[in-house]
Amino acid sequence: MKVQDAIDTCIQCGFCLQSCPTYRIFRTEESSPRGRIARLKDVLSSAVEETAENLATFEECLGCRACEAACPSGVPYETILLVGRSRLRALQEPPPAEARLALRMVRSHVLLRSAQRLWQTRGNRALRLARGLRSQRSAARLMAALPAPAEVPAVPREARAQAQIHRGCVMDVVWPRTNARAVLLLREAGLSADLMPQSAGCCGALHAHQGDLPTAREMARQVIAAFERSGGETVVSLAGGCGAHMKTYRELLADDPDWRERAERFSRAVEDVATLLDRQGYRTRPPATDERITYQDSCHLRNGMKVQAAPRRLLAGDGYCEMEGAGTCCGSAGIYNLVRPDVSDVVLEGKVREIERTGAGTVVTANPGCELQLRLGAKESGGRFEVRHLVDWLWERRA
Amino acid sequence: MSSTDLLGSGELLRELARRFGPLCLRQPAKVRLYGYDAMGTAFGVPLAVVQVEGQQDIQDLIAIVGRHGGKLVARGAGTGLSGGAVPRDGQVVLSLERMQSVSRPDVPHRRLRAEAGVVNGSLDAILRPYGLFYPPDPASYRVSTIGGNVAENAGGPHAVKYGVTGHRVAAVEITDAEGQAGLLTAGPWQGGLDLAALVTGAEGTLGVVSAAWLALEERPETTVTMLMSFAEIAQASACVSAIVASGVLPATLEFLDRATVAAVERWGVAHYPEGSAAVLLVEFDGLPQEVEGAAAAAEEIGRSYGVLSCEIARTAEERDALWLGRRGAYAVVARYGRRVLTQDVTVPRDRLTEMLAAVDEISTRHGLQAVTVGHAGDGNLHPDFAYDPGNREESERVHRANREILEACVALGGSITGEHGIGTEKLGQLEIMLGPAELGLSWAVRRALDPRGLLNPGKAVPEAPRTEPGGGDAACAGGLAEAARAIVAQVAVARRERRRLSVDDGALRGIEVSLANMTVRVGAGNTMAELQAVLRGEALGFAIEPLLAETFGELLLTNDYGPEEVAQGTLRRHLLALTYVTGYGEVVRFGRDVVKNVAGYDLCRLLIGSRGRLGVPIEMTLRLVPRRETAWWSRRGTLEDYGGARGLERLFAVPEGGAHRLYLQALTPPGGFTEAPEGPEVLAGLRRELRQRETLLDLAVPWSELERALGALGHPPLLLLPSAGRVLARCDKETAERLAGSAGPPAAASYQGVALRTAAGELATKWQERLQAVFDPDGILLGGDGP
Repeated sequence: MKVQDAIDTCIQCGFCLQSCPTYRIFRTEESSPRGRIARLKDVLSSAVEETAENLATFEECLGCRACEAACPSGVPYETILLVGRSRLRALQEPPPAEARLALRMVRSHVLLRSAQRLWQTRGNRALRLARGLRSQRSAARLMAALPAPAEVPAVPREARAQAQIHRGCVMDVVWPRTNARAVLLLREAGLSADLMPQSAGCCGALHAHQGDLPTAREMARQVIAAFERSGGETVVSLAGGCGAHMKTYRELLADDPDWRERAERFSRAVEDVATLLDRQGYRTRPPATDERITYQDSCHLRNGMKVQAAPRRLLAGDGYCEMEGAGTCCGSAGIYNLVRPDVSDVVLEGKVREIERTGAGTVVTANPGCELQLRLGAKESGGRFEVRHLVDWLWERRA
Repeated sequence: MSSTDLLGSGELLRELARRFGPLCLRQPAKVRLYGYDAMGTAFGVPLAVVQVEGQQDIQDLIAIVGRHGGKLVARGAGTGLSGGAVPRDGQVVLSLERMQSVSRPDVPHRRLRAEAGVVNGSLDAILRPYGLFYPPDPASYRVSTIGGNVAENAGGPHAVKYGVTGHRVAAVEITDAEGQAGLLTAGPWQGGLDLAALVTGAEGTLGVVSAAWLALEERPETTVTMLMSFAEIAQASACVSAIVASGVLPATLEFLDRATVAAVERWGVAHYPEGSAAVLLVEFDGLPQEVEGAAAAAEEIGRSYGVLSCEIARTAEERDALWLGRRGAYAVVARYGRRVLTQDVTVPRDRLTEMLAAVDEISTRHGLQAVTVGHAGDGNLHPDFAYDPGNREESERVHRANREILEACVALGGSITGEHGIGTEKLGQLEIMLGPAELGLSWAVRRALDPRGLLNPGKAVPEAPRTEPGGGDAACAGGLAEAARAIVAQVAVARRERRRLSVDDGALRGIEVSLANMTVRVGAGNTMAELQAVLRGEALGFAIEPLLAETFGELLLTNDYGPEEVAQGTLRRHLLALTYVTGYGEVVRFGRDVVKNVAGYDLCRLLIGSRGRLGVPIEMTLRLVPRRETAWWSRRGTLEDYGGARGLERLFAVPEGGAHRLYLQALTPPGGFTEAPEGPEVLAGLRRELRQRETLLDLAVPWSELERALGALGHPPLLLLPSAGRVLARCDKETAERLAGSAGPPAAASYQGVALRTAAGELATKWQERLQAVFDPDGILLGGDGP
């Protein structure tokens, strides 16, 4: 959809306001989805000057897309957000250093690996390398919240498996165990499953969300090609952010005649691991009353992929307790917690309060970014709860 | 704009920036984002936006803007549908977004103080642990603010049972156009005119409300939501009338037509049955035994009107999904076109079928398709037109059809807006519904309270000249037109001869019951007993059973009530329309025979408690409510013992030894109460005793003040209404004056039937005097400080 058409879909009813984490913090129209849409409209019509200051609100946006779920008129907000961000990026010379660094890192498995080793051996001292970055402190906090490396179960290869798990970038380095467990769970659930070749690489969501669409397209082509080579039928995502982005490849490559149809086919094949397990009727030992758990939605899984019920069905039991505002963002939002810790921390504080109000000892989520953010929240608030990826929780409770 | 204006605005901007710092937004990019609301077609670029954080900020802002001759528009979340909060170019926007504080609920009185920027939908989580809820739920309730709800007098689906915002506003904290701040109370502690009713729905033209005290309800134990679908629109609307007339009172009774259902399907949040011409979303709430019976009865009625399917939502999620579809209906219609013109017509419930037919006929004739949803149980319909504002020819057809629909609604005795407000959108259309006398009086009220025209100019009421004395259409008094004319003549004589007006209301009698509309029209001279006799044996009755007032005129002018206040509130929840003759000499009728009406100022409820200061009531329309099967119970103990009883109907206490005997009427009693069939007799005996007005003190104070007032009295009162904090006792005049003088605000007090001066705020007193000067310029009416 053209951005002008997307903007015109908004009739300014304001139903999005309370769904927006930044509006709830700043209480000003400029920090709301409706205000952002009006701002881009003003910029495009030259009613307002196109400056970095006037587009800064698109960087402030978490991109959680909760507003899309709240919108009765069906405004494709993400289209508007991406245009706002790419125009902002064009005005920022050079773009923020931490964004550049993060975008560079996730494209290289080797770089990520080395960074991980450096951190494991040198700890905080490793971050001296990143001296001068505004986000040095927030990076250190996040690194400290990372899980310790764990033994990865052996996964016998399966040629031309039907379900191909997209490994992801950070996921593949920090949570390889979760990826492996997902394969085994899917096989237990009766599917032929395996990991997609590492050559698929990162899905490019961060690049698209940071407004670097050319790179995002290049990365999309790489993922599609790797999947096609694998001979699989389903692309399985363990990260709501990646899954939702891969679902948009068809729009991302819509103007590319060589790739349009391949992207269309690919996007249709993307499924979240929870959807597959639920559809296969996979069930584990339900949580008992004294093992209270709760679930935090991944924004993009919920609002982008519209997967909301499946993970909850997999977690159902007497000990399950729905959290107030489970569907609102935790403040992770890609690399948002790295570049805007000021806003992210306020969002996280509210989230920790809600988790604690449920009395749950474990909060389950379905996206590595959310998991890391919630681990940070748990650690800094005194550790009254643990955080698990849905796959890990299911694995640990196999019947 | 002249050069002096530009110079002036520059100084204004500088002063605002000095006083408010970063909370004063002035960059063009930022202020443009405060130039719209949810109507989507009105737009203005404000000079500046000030985000206020308290009443002092508001007072200072009014002073600064006033000093520079600027204009001020208060704004909440900007979700209004009539342009009420849209500024014109160069005006200053006062944003209440940051006023977010909420008090702990006052459980015995079921009240809560919420600042203007608090989002309606956020109250539920706060009130749930106390077993309470705030019923008004405009479709935008998840995002709209209490301040905006008060300014527009927002309604919503639950109004059919629980009333609109205006019925729930117990008091407002307000700053008027001259920068004076104060509290305006309503209900038991009103102690004068119902100024809170005047402010509610006035669209911020009379003052800026910074906080409201909201009257809450106990949470129903059970809720059943049903979705009924019909093959014909006429079947659905006939079913609505039948449900209303059967005497079961639904909590909601919503109507959605085929096009709305299809659009909701596309949104994908709810699954409504396809292939039906109309669906009804019906909800019952209350005690389990009542709800089950009512739902079964409604289903039975549905069957006799050919219902295709009747789904019942069993879980909270299923219920939420059904409601999400309904609440998004306005914006969902945007899927049919670039803009939506939504209407808000309200007709008496028994005229709903005719109104729907008129909408269909008019839109077809103009080549348009109306997409209609509505609060059918209130007679409130929202026919929407999706259109492209860029297409001039289509826009013109839409606006022509719109006007014809409004005219059709008025012809059916309805109101052109039930809950969206006049704003800018209907300012030019108010004259379809109100005559020159009503418009002239409304404008005079606006001028009296905001002489400089500082607040939200061009909204709510249009500029209109006052009619000559003797103006107004006496025919609006129906069968009492002759009597009204006679009173107009008496007013003219009194004014000419400069003497007090003395009216015999004996001729002001005539009762017309409409069970299908759940209303009754009564003359001011009719007695409570006369109406009771007419309604004997019916499923519906009039809710208020005053202790002292005998006629409806007295009831209106004294704001009297009885032990039913605990469940039914005071008259303000039951008065729908009023015809009266002002002391200036106009006959006016405000309100309609509909439960929702926000067309212009509420100069109907304003007269409640006015003690004859503003005008002579002729006749009024009252709401009727279903009677319930209940029993009387009693217990000896302290006042706290009654708290939290569910389904309470009536409650009073009489002294017994050192404590009280509490009597209450309820379906099921709270713990420790035993059956007391003597309750009604005790009450009747007390009424007889109270008829002797000599040495009778009538005082109402908040719960927190009650024990102190009882102590100061020094001896047991005759009767206590604990919920209202009302004390009826015999004492000497000195004690009465001492008690009244130390009470409140808020408080209401009278001795031997004459109002006593309480510590009511200076603001209320000033407004009362200004209004008296408008309504009774020569001081011919009784009232004032009494005989």
